[in-house]
Amino acid sequence: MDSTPSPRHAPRGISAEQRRGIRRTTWTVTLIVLAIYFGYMILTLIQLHR
Amino acid sequence: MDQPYESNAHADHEHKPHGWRRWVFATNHKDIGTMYLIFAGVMFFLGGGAAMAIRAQLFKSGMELFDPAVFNSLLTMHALMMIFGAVMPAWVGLANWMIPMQIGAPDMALPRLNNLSFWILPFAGTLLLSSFFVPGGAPAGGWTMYPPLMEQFGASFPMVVFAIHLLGISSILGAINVVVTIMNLRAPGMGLLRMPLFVWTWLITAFLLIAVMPILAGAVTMLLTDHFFGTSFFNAAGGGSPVMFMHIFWFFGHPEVYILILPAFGVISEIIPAFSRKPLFGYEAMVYATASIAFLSFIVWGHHMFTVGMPVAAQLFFMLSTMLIAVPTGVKVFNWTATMWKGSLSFEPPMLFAVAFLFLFTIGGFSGLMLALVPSDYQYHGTYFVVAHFHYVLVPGAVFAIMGAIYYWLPKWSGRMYDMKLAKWHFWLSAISVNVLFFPQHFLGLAGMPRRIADYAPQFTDWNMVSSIGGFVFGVSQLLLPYIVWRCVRSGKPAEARPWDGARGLEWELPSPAPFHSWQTPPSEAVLAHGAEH
Repeated sequence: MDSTPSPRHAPRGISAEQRRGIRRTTWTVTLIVLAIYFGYMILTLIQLHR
Repeated sequence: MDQPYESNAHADHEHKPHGWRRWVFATNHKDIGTMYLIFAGVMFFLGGGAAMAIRAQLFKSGMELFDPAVFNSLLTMHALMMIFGAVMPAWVGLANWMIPMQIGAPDMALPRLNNLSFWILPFAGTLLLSSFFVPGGAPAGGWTMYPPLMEQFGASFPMVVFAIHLLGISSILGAINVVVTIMNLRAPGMGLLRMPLFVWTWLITAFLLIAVMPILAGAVTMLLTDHFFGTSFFNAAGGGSPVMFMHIFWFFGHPEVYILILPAFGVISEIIPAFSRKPLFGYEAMVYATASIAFLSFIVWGHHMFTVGMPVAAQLFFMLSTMLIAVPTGVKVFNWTATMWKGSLSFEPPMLFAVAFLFLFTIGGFSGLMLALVPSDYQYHGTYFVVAHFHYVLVPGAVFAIMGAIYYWLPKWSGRMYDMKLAKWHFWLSAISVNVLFFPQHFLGLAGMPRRIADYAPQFTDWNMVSSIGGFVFGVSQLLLPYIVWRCVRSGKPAEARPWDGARGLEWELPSPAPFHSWQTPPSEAVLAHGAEH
């Protein structure tokens, strides 16, 4: 367990491994959101031009 | 047994910021949860005010309290405020409060993102409401925002599109936070199939939000570019298709309904076992049923569009896939009933709301099955029958579950008990009046009264009067809730750590009120087992 630098900015008492997990999951989910947002608009364009 | 909560281990951390900084710079999941719930409450009463105005106008034929354009704006804003301003933020508030406490985490995984997702909301809400005061008035085309109607509302059009974008961003950020927290911060030993049902339903809801909110954002972005930048996504004159907007909207819109109701399933799955003093019947079946409902929600959107016109094969597909949802939903209703079977039941306010949910949500489910049948839908579509159907699902469904959740966890949040007698009054007034309000709307719809009209033929007057009276009683009786909460927080009797003797879960292992920082050291396996098996 490593300690968190500030109680205001991150939950205290979480391990370095959890921290890495948080970073990985956040990026994965964010990329999914962006892919759906732009992907859906591109799909609409393709459908309209068929 | 281990000490459930080692409050002395981090006594120096119990200090919390004071004054306005505590709220504006809040990173604590409980403070942010409280702000979400207050925001949802404000929007609930504003949206309720619009509903009262609607019911006043419809009290009898020829009332003419409002200009029809204003009536349509009130109707549209009522929907937007209730869906995006009241019910969704209320669920996020409950998620903020309960998920870290239920999984044994110190806080949400991304506390600053949590602050941002909340503070977007008041600005988006203000933007939405201020559209009433611009030339042309607030949007009046219904919450579905169909083009080309939606694009005819002057200055309010871009304001609402921007507000929807902001509300969507807030929901997506909240959902990311929920997924990241649940996937990474569960207490050691809490496997996925040991999570409380409220956490499970929220995890699935968060995935639904992540999957469909960007689609709504995409749809309204395309509306915006059609209007201001000369594109023709939905403009038939330029080669686009307005029907395509309907498909995209409902591909978002149907899962959105489940976003509003899945956390309710979680809450009911917490309350019924607690007041039946039995474990939940068929825990794993409940998890799989929730996941099945979420999956099916992506392949049923066409049932909103039967009358638009589509091939018979598509109609059949959407009809059958919609009827399939009754299977996992039936599993849930059966399991809740089986949980109560031979239980040691008691009917405190949370249980009253849960049992009412069970009966009344099922009525909404049944009328949904009627609407799923293509030939019947041609008869019901666009009538008050549809209004009765979705209000049964959302008011005695989602809203009653939120009320039940507040009455269930309020002693844990505040450390005080509320006035049971007054809460039971709140329940009985709500449960009776909600039926007086919405049940006659089935009759009106079957008799042919169209929805979204500012006036109607005189033969519909009687049931409209009954419905409006029910609406006024329901609206006024909701004022009891903030009063009960205020009195509880101010002067309620101290609550025990586990005020409901049948309650299970980690949150009840914490003292009441829950400490500012929840689980600063993860709960041990023994605490986990004690919480689950109490």
